[in-house]
Amino acid sequence: MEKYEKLEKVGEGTYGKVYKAKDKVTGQIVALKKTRLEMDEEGVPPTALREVSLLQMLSQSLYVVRLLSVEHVDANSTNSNLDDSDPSKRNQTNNKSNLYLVFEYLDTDLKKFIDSHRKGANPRPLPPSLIQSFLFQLCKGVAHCHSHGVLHRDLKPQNLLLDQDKGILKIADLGLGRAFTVPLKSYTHEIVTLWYRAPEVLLGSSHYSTGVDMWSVGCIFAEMSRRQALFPGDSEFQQLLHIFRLLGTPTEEQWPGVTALRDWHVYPKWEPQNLVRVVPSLGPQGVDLLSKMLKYDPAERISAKAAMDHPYFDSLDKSQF
Amino acid sequence: MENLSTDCGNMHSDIYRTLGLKELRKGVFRSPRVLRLLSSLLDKSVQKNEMLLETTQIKDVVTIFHGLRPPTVSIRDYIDRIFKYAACSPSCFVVAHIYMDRFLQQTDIRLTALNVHRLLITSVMIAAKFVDDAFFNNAYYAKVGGVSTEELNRLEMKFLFSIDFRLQVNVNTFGNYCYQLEKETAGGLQIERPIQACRD
Repeated sequence: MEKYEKLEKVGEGTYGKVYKAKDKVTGQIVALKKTRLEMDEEGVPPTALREVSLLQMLSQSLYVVRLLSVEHVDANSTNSNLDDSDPSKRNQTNNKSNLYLVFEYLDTDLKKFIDSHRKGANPRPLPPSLIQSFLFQLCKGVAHCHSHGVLHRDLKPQNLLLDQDKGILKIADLGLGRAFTVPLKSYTHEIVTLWYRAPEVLLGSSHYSTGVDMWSVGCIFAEMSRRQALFPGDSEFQQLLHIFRLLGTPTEEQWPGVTALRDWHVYPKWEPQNLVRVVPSLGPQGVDLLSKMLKYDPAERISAKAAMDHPYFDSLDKSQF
Repeated sequence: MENLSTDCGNMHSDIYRTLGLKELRKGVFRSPRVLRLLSSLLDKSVQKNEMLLETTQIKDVVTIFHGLRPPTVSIRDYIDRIFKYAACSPSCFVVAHIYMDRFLQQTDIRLTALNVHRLLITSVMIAAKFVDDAFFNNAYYAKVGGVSTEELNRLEMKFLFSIDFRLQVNVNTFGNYCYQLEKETAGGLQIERPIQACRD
């Protein structure tokens, strides 16, 4: 790690600090994600293990953040000249074992970008052509993940990094990603930040699929247009009510099997609202695409690949991507 | 639709069922056949390699995965023990087998009685961490595997870097390994019919 000069701490990832750093030789700016391996009991944290292996595979896509290298720094071995006779000291050096993930550096993320358009000196909507471009890149990145058998499961504006100069969006933070190609035990429900969580997950469905990511994409799409979250629930129950109030309480007709899901209760019967009311600036094609991303029945929800062919993107020059 | 998990499940679901990879009831797997087939496969591989090392004068490389002498516990008992205590998805054993092959190819090491146990506990643990949402930590796996936590941590790191963190397994590879295990049944070993597993 002497190769890099740490410039500043830029954040906390799922499992450790993130630094902006410079390659001393090439001058390349990178993001260093430091994972402390102090917790002997755990070994390599599963989030790090998943993130590295998934990114090794997905990083060829321009729309997934690039993992440059992984380095294990074991202070125990580098400092082997330290006084070994003092066991307490030896334990301290033991604790300094770190795993560094070296990523390309991007200057901001979609959450900060939306925030800068909502508050501050110059609040203004995001240009419609930029929303269109970002959404297309997001769909392209998600399609790439899905075609490699990877569910992201935690798509949200904070996890979408932006290169502002080039107008490029990249998916990051695959710590919760999971391969979905082999038969497994039931999936966890502790996925996806509440606001972007699909109704089937909220209702306790144990075998969900690519639709959970597409629901998140829909919520992010709406948020870019509104500059505020579409469903800002503060508990799982509130989250469902937010969704039901806008899209109507789901019925067996709309979504076969919904009332048999583990956490289904009897809810007030809301009628679906017109989506235009919450995303007035999106235009009819945008609203149509959004409605397909927010279908209740996961089997009916539009796939990332199909979304890329939606007429909403007709006016976009796709050759640049 | 894009529901890949269901599609792939249908394609291979018969073999998944016969190997015991699918749940009987939620969370319930009775000693899946995959365990017996995998141990028989590994046993043969170990025997073949040891014969080779004996008859030729090839010196095997010694790594941190090699013990001084072979553990007394058989591969079959060791695998059963891991499954019993680790309670991971049975698929983890198929995935672990794929990881072991990747490791052996990458490092040019031969599977022998001296390294098979450490490779097994390390690869099953990594498979569980990668594919299962609920799993035990390294300290627990170390107890199950009969090694110290520090040793298992070192084995894990070495294993991961040796296979370049290539943990993802696509559905075709997974399917091929399942078929290879299925073939192990036909391969002469007489296997008592798993009657109890078939009756609902």
